[in-house]
Amino acid sequence: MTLNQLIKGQIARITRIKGEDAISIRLMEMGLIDGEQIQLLGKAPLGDPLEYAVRGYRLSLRLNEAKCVEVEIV
Amino acid sequence: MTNSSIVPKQQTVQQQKMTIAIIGNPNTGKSTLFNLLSGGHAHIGNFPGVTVEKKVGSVNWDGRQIDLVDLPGTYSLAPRSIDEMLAVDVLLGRQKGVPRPDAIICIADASNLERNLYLFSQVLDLSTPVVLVLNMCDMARSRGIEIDAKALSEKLGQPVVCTEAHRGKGIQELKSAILNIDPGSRHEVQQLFPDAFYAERSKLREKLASDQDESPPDFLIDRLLLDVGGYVESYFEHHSHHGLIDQLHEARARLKESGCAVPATEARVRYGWTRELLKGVLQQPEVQQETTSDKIDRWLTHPAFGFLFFFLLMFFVFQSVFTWAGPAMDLIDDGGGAAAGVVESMIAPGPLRSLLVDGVIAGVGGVLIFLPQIVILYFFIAVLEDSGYMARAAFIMDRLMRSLGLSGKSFIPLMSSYACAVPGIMATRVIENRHERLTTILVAPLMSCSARWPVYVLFIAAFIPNIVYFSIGSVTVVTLPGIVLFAMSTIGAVVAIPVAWFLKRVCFKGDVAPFVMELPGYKWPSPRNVIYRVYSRGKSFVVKAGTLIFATSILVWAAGYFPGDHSEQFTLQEQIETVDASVEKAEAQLTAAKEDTLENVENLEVQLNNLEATQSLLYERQNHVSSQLIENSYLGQAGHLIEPVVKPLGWDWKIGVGVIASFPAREVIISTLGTIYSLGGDVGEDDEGLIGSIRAATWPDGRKVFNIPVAISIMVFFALCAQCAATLMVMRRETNSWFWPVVSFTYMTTLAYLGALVSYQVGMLLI
Repeated sequence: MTLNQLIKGQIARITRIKGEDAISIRLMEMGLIDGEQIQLLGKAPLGDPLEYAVRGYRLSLRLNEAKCVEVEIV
Repeated sequence: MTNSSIVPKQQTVQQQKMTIAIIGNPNTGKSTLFNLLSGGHAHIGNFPGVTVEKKVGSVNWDGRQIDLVDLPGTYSLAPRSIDEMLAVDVLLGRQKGVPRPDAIICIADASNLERNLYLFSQVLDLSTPVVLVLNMCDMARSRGIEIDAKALSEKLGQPVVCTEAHRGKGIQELKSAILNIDPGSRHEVQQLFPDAFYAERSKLREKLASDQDESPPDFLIDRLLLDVGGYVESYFEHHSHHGLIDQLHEARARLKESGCAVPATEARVRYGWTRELLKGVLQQPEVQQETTSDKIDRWLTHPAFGFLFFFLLMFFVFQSVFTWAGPAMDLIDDGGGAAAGVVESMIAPGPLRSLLVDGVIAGVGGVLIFLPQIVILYFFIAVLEDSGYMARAAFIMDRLMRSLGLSGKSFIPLMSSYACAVPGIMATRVIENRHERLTTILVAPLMSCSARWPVYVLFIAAFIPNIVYFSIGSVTVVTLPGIVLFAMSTIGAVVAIPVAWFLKRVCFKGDVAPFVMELPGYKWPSPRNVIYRVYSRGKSFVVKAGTLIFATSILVWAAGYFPGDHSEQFTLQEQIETVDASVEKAEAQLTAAKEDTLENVENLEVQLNNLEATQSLLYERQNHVSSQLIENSYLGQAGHLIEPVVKPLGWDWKIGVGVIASFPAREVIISTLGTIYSLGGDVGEDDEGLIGSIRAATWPDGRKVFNIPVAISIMVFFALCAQCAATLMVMRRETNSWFWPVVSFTYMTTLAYLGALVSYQVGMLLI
C-alpha cells in the first residue's frame, strides 16, 4: 500500500520511495527513508494535503506526493 | 572520522576580517539569530540575476570585522534551481561579490535534530570550518529531548553551541566559538559513500579536466553525480562538454549495479551517518507523545472549525488594516496639506512652488499614505509567521489555491494585495518555488486594491442609478450601486484565475512544485523579531518605492506643466490669494460688526458680496487657464495623440489624459479630471462639482461624453490596469529584473483595454 491510504492515527513503516524525480528526492531528503516509521495525524479541511509525524516532526504532503511512498502497516 | 584542523587563534589572525555564512532549515529561527548577531545592521539587497534576497550584516566583535551573509532557508544543498544554486555558490566562494566564507554557521532545530543534521552533513562536505548551532534548546527540553552538546562536538570535531535565539540566550557562546576559528583553515572531508562512488567521481574529474581544463570543487562533482535532473547536471549539459552527460549516465548505471543507486543512496547514507552520530548523544522519549502543538492543531486544522477560524482571522486582519490605518493615513494626508500650506505661504506662485506642491509633496504623500496599512499588515504577517500559523494557513488553503494552479503559500500575498499590491508582492517571499512566486507576483496587482475605490466611488455616484432591489424594512440590502461596486472589486480576482492558469500551464510548463512542507511547532512570536521585521519592511518600502514613485511623480508633473506660459496662471493665483485673504478679513469684520450699527453691517455685506463675485470670477478664469495649459502641455498633446485609440472605449481625450497621468497611481485620475474639467486640481472623489461637470461634459458636436457604458468602461479599465508605479517598482526589486514589470504592465493594460472596449461596445448595444 501507499502512504495516502493510511487511516488517521495509523502508524506504518516505509518500504520504498517510488521514482527518481524531484519529488521523491525531496521526500528522501526530508527523512522518508525505507525502514522509517510514519504516522498519519490528520488532513486539511478539504481532504488534501495530509499531515504526518515522522522522525519527531510534523510534515505535510499532498495526496500526490504521498502516493510515491510505499508503506506497510506496523 | 572528521579530521579537524582548527588551531588556536593567533594574534595576527585576530585582526583579520572574516566572512561567515549562515545556513539552516526553514523554521529553525535563522532570521532571529541573524538579526541578533548582526545587531540589526543588516544590509538587504538582491544577488545579481536571481530573485534571492541578499542579507549581509557587518559587525565588529572584539576588534574583529565580521561580515555575516544570511542564506535562504533550505532542507538540502542539492540545488534544483538557479536560486538554490546560489546558496551553494556562496558557500563555495563562487558567487561574485561575496568572498568564500571563512566559516559557516549551520543552525539546527534541537527538537528535530535528526532531520536537521542532513543539511549539516552536506555542509561538512564543503570542508569549511562550521559551527553547529542547536537552536530552541528550551523547546527540545520541554519535549523530553536531551542533547549532550559536548559529546556531539567531540564526535564531530567541530564546535557545537546551544542557543535560545528568541530569548537572546547563547549568543555570547556562539560569538566566541566563531572568534576561535582560524580563517582559511579547511578540514578533511569524511568519505561517507562507498568507494565505488569516489572512483566514479575521479573519472568525472578527469573527464572535466581533459575537456575544458575545468576543475570544479569536489562538492560540485558529487552534486553532478548525485542529483538526477538537478541544477548542476543541467548546467553542465548546457555548457556542452562532449560526452560528459553520457559518461554521467554510465557512471550512475555502474553505481546502481554496485548497489549504490542514485538518488536513493545519498539520503540513506547521510541519515545512517546521523543516526550513528547521535548514538549516546541524543536521549529522547521512547514513545512520541502528543505535543501541545498537536493539540492546538486538532482545532486549527479541523475540517470545519479550521476553516472558520482561518476566515475569521483573515477578516480580522483586513478589518484592522483598514480601520487602524485610517487615523494614521488622515494624519499623513493632513501633514501633506500642512506642508503644502507652508510652501504656499513662503513661495510666490511659480514653477518652483508648483514643482514642490504638485510634484514633490503630492508625490511623496501619495506613497507615504500607504505606510500605515503596510506596517499593520506586516505586523500581522510577522506575528502569524513567527507563531507558526502561516504554515497552517498554507496547509488549509492549498487545495483551493491549487485549482488556480498556485499553492496554499500564495494565499496570504494575494489576500494582502486587496489592501495594496506593494506589501502583497513583498509577502511572496514565503514562496520558495520560483515559478509559483512569479505567477503570484504577476497576478497580485489584479486584486482590487484600495487605490481603485476612489475611482469606483466617483463614477458610481455620478452614473449608476440608485435602484434598490431588496430591502428589509427601511434597511436597503441590495442596490445597483452596491452590485456594481462588488462586481468591480471582484473582476480582477476572477480574471486572475485564467491568467494564473495560463502562466502555470503555458509559460512555466512542466514545473510541478512539490508541497512538502514542515508544520513547525506553535510558539509565542518574539517581540524583537516582529518589531525588527516590521521596521525593516517599512523602511525598505519608504526608501525604495518612495524614491522611485517620487521620481515618476515629478516626471508626470513636468509632462503636465511644460511647455506653456504659466505667467497668467501665476498672476491669477496671486490675485486669488489676495482676494481670498480679503474675503476672510471681510467675513471676520462682518462677524464682529453684527453687534455694531446696522449701517456698518450693510456696508460690509456689500463689500463682501463684491469680493466674493471677484473671487468666483478669478477662480473661473484660473480654471479656464489651467485647463488650457494642461490641454497644451506634453500630457495634453499625448492625450490628443491617443484619442483615436481611446475613442472605441467611448472616451474623449480628457479621459485619455487622465489615464496617462494616473500612471504613478490610480487616484490621480480624480485630480487630473478635476483639473481638465476646469475645476483646478484639488477635487475630491465625492465633490459634487466634479460629478456635475463630468455629467455635463460634451463632445464638440454637443453629445454627452459620459453615459453608463462609458462610466463602466472607465471603471473596468481601472479595475484591471497596472496604473501604479509603486507596484511595478516593487516587482522590479523582488524579481530583480525589469522584464517582469514590463510583462505585467503590458498584459494588464491589454486586459484593461479589452475589458473597457467590451464594456462600452456591449453597453452601447444594450441602451
